[in-house]
Amino acid sequence: MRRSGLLALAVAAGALATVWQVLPAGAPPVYDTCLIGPYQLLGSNPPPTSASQTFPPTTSFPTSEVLTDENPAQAQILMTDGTFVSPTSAITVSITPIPPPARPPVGDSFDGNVYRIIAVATSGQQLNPQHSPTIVLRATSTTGPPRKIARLDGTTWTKLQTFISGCGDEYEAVSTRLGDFAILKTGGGAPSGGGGGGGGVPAPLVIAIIVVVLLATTFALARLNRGRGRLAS
Amino acid sequence: MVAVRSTHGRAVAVSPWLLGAGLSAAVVLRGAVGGADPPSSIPAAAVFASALFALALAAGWRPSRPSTSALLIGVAGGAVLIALSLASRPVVVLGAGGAGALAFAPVVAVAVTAEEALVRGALFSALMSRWGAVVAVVLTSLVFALVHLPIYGVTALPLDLAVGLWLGGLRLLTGGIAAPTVAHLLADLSPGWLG
Repeated sequence: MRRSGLLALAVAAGALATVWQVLPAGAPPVYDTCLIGPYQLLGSNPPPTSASQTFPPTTSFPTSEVLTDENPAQAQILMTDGTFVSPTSAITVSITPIPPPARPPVGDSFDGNVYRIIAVATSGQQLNPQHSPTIVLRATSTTGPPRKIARLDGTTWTKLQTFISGCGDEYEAVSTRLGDFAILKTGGGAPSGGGGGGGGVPAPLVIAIIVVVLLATTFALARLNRGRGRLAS
Repeated sequence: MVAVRSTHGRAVAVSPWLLGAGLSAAVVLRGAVGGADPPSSIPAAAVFASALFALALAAGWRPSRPSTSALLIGVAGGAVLIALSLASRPVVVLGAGGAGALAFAPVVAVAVTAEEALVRGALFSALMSRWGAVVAVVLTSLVFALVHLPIYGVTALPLDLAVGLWLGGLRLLTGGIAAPTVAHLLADLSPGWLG
């Protein structure tokens, strides 16, 4: 049994390594049942939050992150050592939800807010990162069509290589520069209902039927189990 | 109907088909209660976990005191799952989930334990008794992947299959659900402290 277990573990390790290497973009996390607060859209109440952090002048910018206050954050930027070089001026990294400055590509739609993520020196001059930061954005739900993080380049949205992270509704992408970012939902149209209860409202009748099936199954299992016990005694 | 001997030596009689039917009903119930975002719904997680515990207990599974070695193997197994996922990430930030993740940890713990009690507890024992270890590992891995299908979609299927194999291997290696439960729990909690 021990040998079978080790064999299964070896096969699983190979499969896991392959899956993470081959399908990183399509692979949601191992985890389920994550706590996700309601998405806060620009113009709704409560409004989405902004975030800003000022770093002192430095030649060795520290690994750090700036993120909005929702739970989990709707937008964040992850920066590694040396992302910015500014020996004489403080650097302020900010994240601000803004109205969409340009329309999404044909066939796509925004899923959530557009966020302006920038770094500025005290003079107001925008800084370009020396190392590409990671942008993490939340979608409005875990269900629905495939999504990509996109960056506004001029007047067009450039889709970035996107990874699913967090609890299935968080997406991350490495960007060579800062600017305006949004999640684009491929296929456009209205947000998907996602199945299950339909429209987000649990159907009492469906739930009642399932509960009856569950109770009947549990009862049958218990009877089988008890019957076996009597046979054994 | 299949007679199985649990890890504590208690003879029980269970049907893998009944367990499968019950598990399917629990998955549908979770989706119905969870509305648009089942992964974030605490009521859905609670209902799902309760249903799985009830099914596992009805099938004869009983909790037992885990051995230290099984717990350590579980920790190592969880570390492997986390390390592999982090290896594909561009940046890792400690403490990303904050207090919210900490508050949700008990819910995750209950849901994970319930899944393991049913899938790698009652169902695994029933399948192993009837068809042997290989079939038990493969079928419970398939079931594990299918359980997550309604929430994470088809793209999660290969990963969940591989994770199911890994947890099944831990179950086989240690003879109980403590190791896969610990590994599963660590992996599920990791997004709370690694972003």
